[in-house]
Amino acid sequence: MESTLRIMSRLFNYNAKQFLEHKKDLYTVFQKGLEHEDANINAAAIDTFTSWISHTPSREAKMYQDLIPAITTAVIKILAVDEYQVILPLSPSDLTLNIREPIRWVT
Amino acid sequence: MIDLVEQEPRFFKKYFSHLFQAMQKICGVKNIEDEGLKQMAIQVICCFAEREPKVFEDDTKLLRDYLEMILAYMIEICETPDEDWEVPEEGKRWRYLVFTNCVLSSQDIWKFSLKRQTILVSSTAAVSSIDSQAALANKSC
Repeated sequence: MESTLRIMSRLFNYNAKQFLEHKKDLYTVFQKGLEHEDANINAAAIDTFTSWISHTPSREAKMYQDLIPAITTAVIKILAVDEYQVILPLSPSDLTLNIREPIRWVT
Repeated sequence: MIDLVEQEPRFFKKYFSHLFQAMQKICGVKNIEDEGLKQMAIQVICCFAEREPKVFEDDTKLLRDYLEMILAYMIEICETPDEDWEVPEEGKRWRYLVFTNCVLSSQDIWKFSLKRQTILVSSTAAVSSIDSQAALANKSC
């Protein structure tokens, strides 16, 4: 799933318009990616999401606003487990972390 | 994230409180290995504030929290304000970017939409809050 998201993120640079027909499916893909237990997939989902929003007309992007809370939660989760080893004061209700390896950042 | 906030600030308007709280959480972490991370968190809010100043005008608590975040970060970088704050040494410039970028440029932009009085009151409140937190920390030591 991570690789698919990364590839999709690059594809938006070339022809995002073609994906507009599938905007509802994309919403589900982003949502699943952001809520996934693997932080690498969360990072890929954020990458793809930001790429999509930057290539989408504002009118169309509006429906994705609901995903912002999921994004901020994912950002905090990634920072808590990534190579920076940021120890954030996560409340028990925040997240359950089950990370086996550090995040692989794509530059 | 910074690029997206810069490009599409309106997109974040509805759920800005979530974004703000997340960045506030990052800035509030004591032992952080990558100092640039906090700067990036502040830049996210700074980018938004420059493009949507009305959000801060309508919510003075938000403005106070934002200023508090910036001031706390500045103190964390250098506890004693000296000439370096205005004219940083060569190679240390990045440390002061937060001050020049977030405080000076923001106020420059805000003065057209936000009353100076509002900024002054919020800045004073932010300073008092930081001061009382420091006093509390000293007491516990």
